[in-house]
Amino acid sequence: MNFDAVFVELREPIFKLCFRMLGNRHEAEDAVQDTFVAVHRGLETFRGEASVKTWVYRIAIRAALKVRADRRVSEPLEDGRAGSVAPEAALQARDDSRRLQIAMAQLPAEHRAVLSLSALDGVSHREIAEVLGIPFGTVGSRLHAARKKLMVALG
Amino acid sequence: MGICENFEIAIEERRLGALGAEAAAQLEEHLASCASCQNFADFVRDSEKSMQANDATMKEADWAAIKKTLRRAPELMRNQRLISVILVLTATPLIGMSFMGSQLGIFIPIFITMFFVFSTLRYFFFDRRLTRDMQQTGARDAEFFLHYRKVLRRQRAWIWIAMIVAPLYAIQMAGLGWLLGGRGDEVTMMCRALLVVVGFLLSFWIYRARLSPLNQVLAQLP
Repeated sequence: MNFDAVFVELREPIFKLCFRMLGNRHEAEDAVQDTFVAVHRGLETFRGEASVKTWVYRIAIRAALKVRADRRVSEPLEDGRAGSVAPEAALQARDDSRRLQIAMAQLPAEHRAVLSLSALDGVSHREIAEVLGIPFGTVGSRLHAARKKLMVALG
Repeated sequence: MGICENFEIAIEERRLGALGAEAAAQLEEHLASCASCQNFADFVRDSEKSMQANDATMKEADWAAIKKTLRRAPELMRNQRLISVILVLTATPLIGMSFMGSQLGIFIPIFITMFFVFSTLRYFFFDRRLTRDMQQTGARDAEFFLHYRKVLRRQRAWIWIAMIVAPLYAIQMAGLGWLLGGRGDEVTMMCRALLVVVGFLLSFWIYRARLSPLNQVLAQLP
């Protein structure tokens, strides 16, 4: 298994996943680093019980939780967005995005994880079940519970 | 579980492409007559859109820096191990020195040395175990968080020991007569006091920077 190929293919979805889990670009970068360091170390002994993609996602969720555990509690969330978007739309989008991040930050880790994964392009129902280690039939109800909490958190 | 709740779950499953044709038709029929489920469907669509819009404008990660760190990871690991070996080598002679004049007896240096030895072993073996755990342990969800809580609690215990060892190490060093001798009594006493203060400050810093945030995260875990 080629590490470089895994890195190039999965670095962006992993960054998005970590960013959604953490709400902070620098912390997301740290989590990406930790993820790929662990992947680099574990790739040779990877036994192929799951697909590489779900294995790496699982590592990334743990790395994000670890980074969050190391976070100083007073550290603010940042929006992590590019500054080149047009003024009014950008302000509205930034505001929505920030509200969403703040609401996401209030959710328990298991709910943040399922929402973050489900919003990634190309991650199937079965893959979410594999990454989170839950039965296939539970994904919908887990996602539903998370979405309800997000709804409450957004007011 | 109410009828609407079942349909709300079906909305999530439809979005992931996991809903059969028959169930999808039933859902459509229900949505046409249920404002509450329609609201939920709108919220699902809007929140997904919001997340994906965020992706579209998200700043690019600093891939060059990440790649650089990945390349340096083995070197950093070696350095970490080297430092821990040096700590063991510097702590071990404390046991011998204690016979030659420390007022604090043999137990404190033994404790300090043991701590550094176990820290070293941890640096040598912990990373490998962590990688293995990441692949195997906590595959099911509840187990996942139990495992994570266990890892954090282990870390917390380790931090507690480090908090105790830091001032003890400073006191032990300050108690060694030969280390600060020959500089005049006042200077010697000041240096000893300074060493002890540094030890306690280090302990307080460990509490503020590591233990306190860890406790808050543990309290928030499901």
